[in-house]
Amino acid sequence: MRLLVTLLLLWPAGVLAQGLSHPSHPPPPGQRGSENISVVAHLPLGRPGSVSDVEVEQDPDRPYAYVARRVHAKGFDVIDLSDPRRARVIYRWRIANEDLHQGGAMDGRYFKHDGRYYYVQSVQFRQGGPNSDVGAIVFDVTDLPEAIVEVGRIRQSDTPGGFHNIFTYKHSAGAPLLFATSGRHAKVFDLARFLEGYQTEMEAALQDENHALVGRVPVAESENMWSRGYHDFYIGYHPESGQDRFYGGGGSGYYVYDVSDLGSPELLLTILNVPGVSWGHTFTPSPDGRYAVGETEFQYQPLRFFDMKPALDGEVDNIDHAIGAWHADWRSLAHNHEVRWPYLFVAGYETGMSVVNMENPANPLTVAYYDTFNGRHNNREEVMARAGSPYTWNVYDGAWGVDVRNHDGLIVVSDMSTGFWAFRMDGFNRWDGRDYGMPNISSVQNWDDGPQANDE
Amino acid sequence: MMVPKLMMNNAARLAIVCMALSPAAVAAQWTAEKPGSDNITVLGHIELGPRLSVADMDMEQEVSRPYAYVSRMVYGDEGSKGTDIIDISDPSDPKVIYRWRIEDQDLHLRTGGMDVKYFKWKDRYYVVQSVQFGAGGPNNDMGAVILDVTGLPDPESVREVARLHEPDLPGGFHNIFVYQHSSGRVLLFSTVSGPFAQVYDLGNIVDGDLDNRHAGRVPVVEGASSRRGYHDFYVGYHLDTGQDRFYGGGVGGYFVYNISDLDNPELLVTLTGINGVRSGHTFTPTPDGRYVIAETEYRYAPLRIFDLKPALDGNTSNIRNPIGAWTADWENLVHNHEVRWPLVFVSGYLDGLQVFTMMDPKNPSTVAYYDTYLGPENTDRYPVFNGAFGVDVRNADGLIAISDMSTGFWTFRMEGFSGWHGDDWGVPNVSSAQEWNRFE
Repeated sequence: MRLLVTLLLLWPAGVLAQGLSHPSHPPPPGQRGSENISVVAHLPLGRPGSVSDVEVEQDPDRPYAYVARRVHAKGFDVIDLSDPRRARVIYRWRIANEDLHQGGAMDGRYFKHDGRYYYVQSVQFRQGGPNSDVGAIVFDVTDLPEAIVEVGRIRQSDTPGGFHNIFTYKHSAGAPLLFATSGRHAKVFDLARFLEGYQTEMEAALQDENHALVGRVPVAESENMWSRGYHDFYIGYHPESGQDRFYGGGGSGYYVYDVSDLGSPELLLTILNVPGVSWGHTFTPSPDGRYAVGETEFQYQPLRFFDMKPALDGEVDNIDHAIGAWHADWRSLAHNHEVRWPYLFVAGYETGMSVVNMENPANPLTVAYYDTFNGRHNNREEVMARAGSPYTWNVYDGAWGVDVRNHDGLIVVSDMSTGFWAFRMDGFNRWDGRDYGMPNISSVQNWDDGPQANDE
Repeated sequence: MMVPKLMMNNAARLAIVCMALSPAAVAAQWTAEKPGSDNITVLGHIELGPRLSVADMDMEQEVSRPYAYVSRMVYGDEGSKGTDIIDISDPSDPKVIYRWRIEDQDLHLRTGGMDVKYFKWKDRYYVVQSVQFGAGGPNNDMGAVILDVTGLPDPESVREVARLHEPDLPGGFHNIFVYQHSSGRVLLFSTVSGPFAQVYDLGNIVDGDLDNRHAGRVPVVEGASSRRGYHDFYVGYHLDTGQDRFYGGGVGGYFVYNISDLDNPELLVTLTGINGVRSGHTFTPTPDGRYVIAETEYRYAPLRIFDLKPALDGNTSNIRNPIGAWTADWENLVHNHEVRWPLVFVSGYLDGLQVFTMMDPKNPSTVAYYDTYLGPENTDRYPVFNGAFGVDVRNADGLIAISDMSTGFWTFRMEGFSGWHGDDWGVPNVSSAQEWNRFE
């Protein structure tokens, strides 16, 4: 009898240990999501393929999300989430002379400085049209929902083509920073200095476009580099060492730098020569900085989980293997992600939104999902028709960006073709790292007091 | 504590029901309780030695010569280096009838026997055992040993005919392929430590004319380092053009050459710049040469299927986008494969024998499986390098054989597959199986 009881007790744990399986695609009617996911809102935003990344503000009294628009419409949409179930677009900013611009808006991040709120929209406009030297456009959004005002444009004429990805970070020294992909570096701009520059009456044409450029994070050299720059990055405070750490994907893998001194970034470790990873894309650490999730933007590649401890302890300089991996569908590809330990929120292109438990990084488990895309997977012709690009082969459509609002656990997703989505996950009503025995570190910044105050 | 028999049965039944209902059953079809699909029958199985001591295999194609050859290596802690010859006259009761071993086993470093292929020349049958021995021990420059096996099943009749040494290309042959060229020559293609595949004339070698053993070289594309070349290859006759075509996987990707004139290999197609593929591994075409199945040797990589037609038609010189992909379990890795259109027989490391159909190359799907390896991942070696290493198919009667790195040698039947001939499927009768008598 004891054996029977033991088996019964162990069985649910066994089930849990396997996680959920995503349904086949397209899923049967009514089965797009797991039972623990509720759709709060869905706003189609325009033509298929026109949507890129998403950002949600974190202050409870500022219920705004921003969705970047990359083709057909070039700019961003502001969504009012004051009543999440009645989410609505309240503002659509578009670049002037849209048709003349070759490219569109990509990544968007907000920041707060001196009591005012700003939104930075990265753009990529190719030469042959206007503004190919513009990397990002800064807006004052303090007065939402009434008004937004363009404050200025960050230009880098020596590395035209714009900023593919950006990250805003409150440095331990106090400055609000913008990290941007540009040329062979992640360029670092002091946003306070940028704002000050445009508060003068100096003619814009006479201003030094590098006046706010305060640092450059290089890509460490290695043999047979796949690329020379970064694709994406995350910057986080590391309480144990008191360092500001930069986690970049690009080059031939992933790179971690100490950027406490922006004038002298110090390489801490590399993750190179990982089988299947010739290039790093999105790269995000756990709150304590021990583990990291690495994406490489090729079809069939899973998200990989790395344990950086051997390198951080000085036993090795380079990590060359993953300790775990996760896929929603091996034929597809997961894209951006947000870590809220032990959860990993994933924008998985054609597989939509997934939530992964990475408490055991060697055995990550799907714990929730919702298929925002709901179309056929891995169909090159359909992707070409919708998105106009074979990039990442046949899977370049669906959920692009994801963000999580820490104070109430709202999950938002931008889907390239189906628009904006907001979700709730059962049992996830907020996130604070301390609830999980971790530093309270995520992509969410403490704009008022800095990262050192996160655990106070 | 003793458990009453009835209670044990109920508990066991309950456990089985629970497991059947759990997501695990969805995630992995092959389990310890049911390692194979209903359409696969295990005929025979013999263990051959310690864990990680078995490499590739080959099976003679004539039913009147029921012999299989299994390479023996030391990839784990122990084992022996050489070849096992297995009598499969009764496939349900395979027997090792001869063991060739390199002398002074302990002095020979690294893995030992890797790939093995048989051939026929002037009515005699031979086996080529590729070997890799490390520097610091004997025979670091030896790539293969050739045995005359005509007199099988008499083990006393097996005799060593030749050893292939390449002092300028040390490190041995990791992979080999035997092909009867349209010129009638029987050729050995071998991977060497250089940016090319080395080609030998096996007829000359077994006839004792070692001075004329070299038949040519097939290069990799320019830019490859001097020490790195191919990992694996397949050579097949292309009926439409009358060409002998070489399909190689190696540094940079995959390459197709016309080797009708061995002195002047002509590059036909490259497959480079493929996202996620830095180096090609096993690479096998369909019988008509239009599609190819390509493996790259790292965990999580699926087999990719490419359509060569745009390049063969002259519309492009390089192919970089697969049209389809297949894997048994994305968390693992599949290894070698044999194409018998529309089926592909796969030795899938941790996932054992797998069979998929590529009738629609864009949507390949699994049709049969048997997990020959139910053990854990490696912790002392690359985690997924264990389990089914090699696979072969006997065209005459559809017998399937697997060499498993740890569990040994297996024979199978698949329901509805009682042999293969290309004509039955409307494709050229071209596979890895050679028609040795076609020029007689």
